[in-house]
Amino acid sequence: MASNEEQLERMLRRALVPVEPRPQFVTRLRGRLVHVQGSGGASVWTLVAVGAGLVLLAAAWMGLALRLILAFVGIFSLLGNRRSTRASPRAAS
Amino acid sequence: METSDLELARRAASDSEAFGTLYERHVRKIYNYIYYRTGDHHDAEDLTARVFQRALRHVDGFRDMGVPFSAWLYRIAHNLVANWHRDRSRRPVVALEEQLVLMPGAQHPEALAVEREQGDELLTIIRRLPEERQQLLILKFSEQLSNAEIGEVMGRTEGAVKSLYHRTLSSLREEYEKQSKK
Repeated sequence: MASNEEQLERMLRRALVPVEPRPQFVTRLRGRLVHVQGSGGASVWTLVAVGAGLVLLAAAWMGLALRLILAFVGIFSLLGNRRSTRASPRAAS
Repeated sequence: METSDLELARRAASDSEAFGTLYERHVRKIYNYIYYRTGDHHDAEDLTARVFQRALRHVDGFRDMGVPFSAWLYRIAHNLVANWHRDRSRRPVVALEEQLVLMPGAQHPEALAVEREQGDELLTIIRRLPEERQQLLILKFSEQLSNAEIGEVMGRTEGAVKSLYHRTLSSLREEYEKQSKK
């Protein structure tokens, strides 16, 4: 019985010898995995850069719009002042 | 000093070189395991690639729970192979010609032929065994893991592995004898 078991174990050892993958496969898969991980990292940074760019662009537009509004308000108030200064001497005379 | 698998696994989510080192350490064993479960080099390559792609996606979730990184990889491989068998629902053919080239000893052509026949029969019988028994035999004889290590991979105690091993050997012997009488 024991010798049968030993014999079977010997046969199993011979039948199940370790096999090696092709070296090209190992190298190519490594490259692919490292590339996937590398490109994953880059895409996160791209998202951050795009997000930051959009925020800056929105802030710039808002700043420009605010300046334009203030400029128009300034111009209108200046025009209003001129009209009132022209009108006031006539009214006085 | 060599960096431990655990340390590398911690860094692997953000450091591609750390994952690359883990890959280099384990790819051959995982390939070997999958090869004996599928019986085909192309399928073994395809599934090995999928194991490491899945491992890369989930490595940030790997925690030290007393189970080595290799056991975690074997479990991924085991699940993928089980899905593969379910999808295909077919019995794979072993590429014995390629395998026998690697067999040590057996210089004499007659001895080689006998070994080839025995190996062929044995592998056919192994492939008919339940999944967990196939896994046990591959891990024990091809990967040369101890019962304790096999227990970590299979989520069983060392004693349970030992008892499963003896049951597997006796059913294998019965099947082999039946096959030889035919």
